[in-house]
Amino acid sequence: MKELSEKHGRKRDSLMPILQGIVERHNYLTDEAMVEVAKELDISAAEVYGTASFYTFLDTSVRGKYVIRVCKTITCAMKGKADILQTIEDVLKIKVGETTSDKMFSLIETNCIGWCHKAPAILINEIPYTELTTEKVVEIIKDYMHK
Amino acid sequence: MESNKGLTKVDLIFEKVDAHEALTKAFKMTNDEIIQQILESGLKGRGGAGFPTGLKWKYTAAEKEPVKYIVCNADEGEPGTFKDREILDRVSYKVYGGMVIAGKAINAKEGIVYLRGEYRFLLPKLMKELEIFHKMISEIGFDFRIKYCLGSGAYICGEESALFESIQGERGEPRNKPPYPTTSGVYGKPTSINNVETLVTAMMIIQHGAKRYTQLGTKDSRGSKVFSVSGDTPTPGIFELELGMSVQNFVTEFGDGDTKAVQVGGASGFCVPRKKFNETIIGFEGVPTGGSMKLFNSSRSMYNVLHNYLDFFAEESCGQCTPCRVDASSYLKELKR
Repeated sequence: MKELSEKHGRKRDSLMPILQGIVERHNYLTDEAMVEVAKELDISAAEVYGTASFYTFLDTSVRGKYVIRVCKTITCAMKGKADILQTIEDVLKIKVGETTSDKMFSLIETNCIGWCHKAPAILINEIPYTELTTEKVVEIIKDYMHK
Repeated sequence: MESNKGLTKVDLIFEKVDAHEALTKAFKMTNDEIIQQILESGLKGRGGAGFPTGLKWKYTAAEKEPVKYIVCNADEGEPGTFKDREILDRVSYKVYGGMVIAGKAINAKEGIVYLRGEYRFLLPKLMKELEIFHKMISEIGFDFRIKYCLGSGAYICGEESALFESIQGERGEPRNKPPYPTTSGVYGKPTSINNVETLVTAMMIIQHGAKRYTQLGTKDSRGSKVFSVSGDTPTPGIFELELGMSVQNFVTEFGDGDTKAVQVGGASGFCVPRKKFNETIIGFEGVPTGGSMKLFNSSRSMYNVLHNYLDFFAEESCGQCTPCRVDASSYLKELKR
């Protein structure tokens, strides 16, 4: 936390980069982390939570090391998103919104991620994977399992 | 009305230019000359709203405040657009170039690029290119610095005042207007906020001159535009096309022979059915667009398309105003019945 506020400063506009930095390292924001950020920036914890809870990428509930976001917007939906999602659910043995018990993977749906010309597409953390087939997505997830 | 323009491919946005030479030339122009060129070009914002870029710069330039900002809106969240990512990926130096030229025109020393969180993977590359760019403008003698702010997955932050709130570390809720960004934008300072493509286009107008640019397009829709093409098409991707074509021209080029509808301008845009293809012009005289073009063939259920869009809006509503917060969910509920 100290390191992040050294890097980004302690002003109100440092809040987003600090929260993004925490999510990048620890996958999601715990209550304790938000209270600590509030202390660092000398604002109320409610202010921190207010900002965090507005943004879908600033998760405040438990997330795994790898967050899989499956695009569900129209072109991906037309190009086989349902099969991709089903395949990931089968491989990880979790449903949308859940996290594997070893805290390695979370599976969520997301809105348009800007890869409609190469649909269907997913993000794993910040990395996009496009033009997916069910075979391809199994391989990608298995690669992450062995990381 | 029959379109007077066919479909013509253009290469302006991705065209290679010598940035050093182009910016040295811009640096020698007066601020008024730059604004005059952009005004004469007829350029309207390429993010979708279509406000005249020259006017935006003129109003911001007229503000007496010593601190002003150029903000580049790279929060491309409208379903079906992906051109800004491609532009940043391929020619980020031209985006930065446009920001510097805008900065000179309005007397700003700082620029902020607000990049959507979904494009975070691009950031290391963009920062490296920015470093090289900063070195180059220092050599020319431009005093201007650009930094990045990253979004975190909120569609509404593409709206300019919500975007400012987000830069300031707040919830991305749009502000009441007026005041407009040109008088009170990010940090309450006069701000010119322009889309990625608009900034590149502005740089190219300064490079080639407004006269050449006005030879493209129509009276209401000058120039060319980058289109993001997806859906039922054999050739999905990014295409820069002259403005003024009809939807029919577009479908003839990109359709799969069975196109029944085209969604122009993303989920918040217009759905043009087959019987209106001929009479509908893609541009400000017909259907304006930030460039999202989705084609649907007769195998698609428009019920599913609508369902998908409503789902999107119900989720992405920032929750501030009742019509959007309540109605999107109610429409969805009714639709499901």
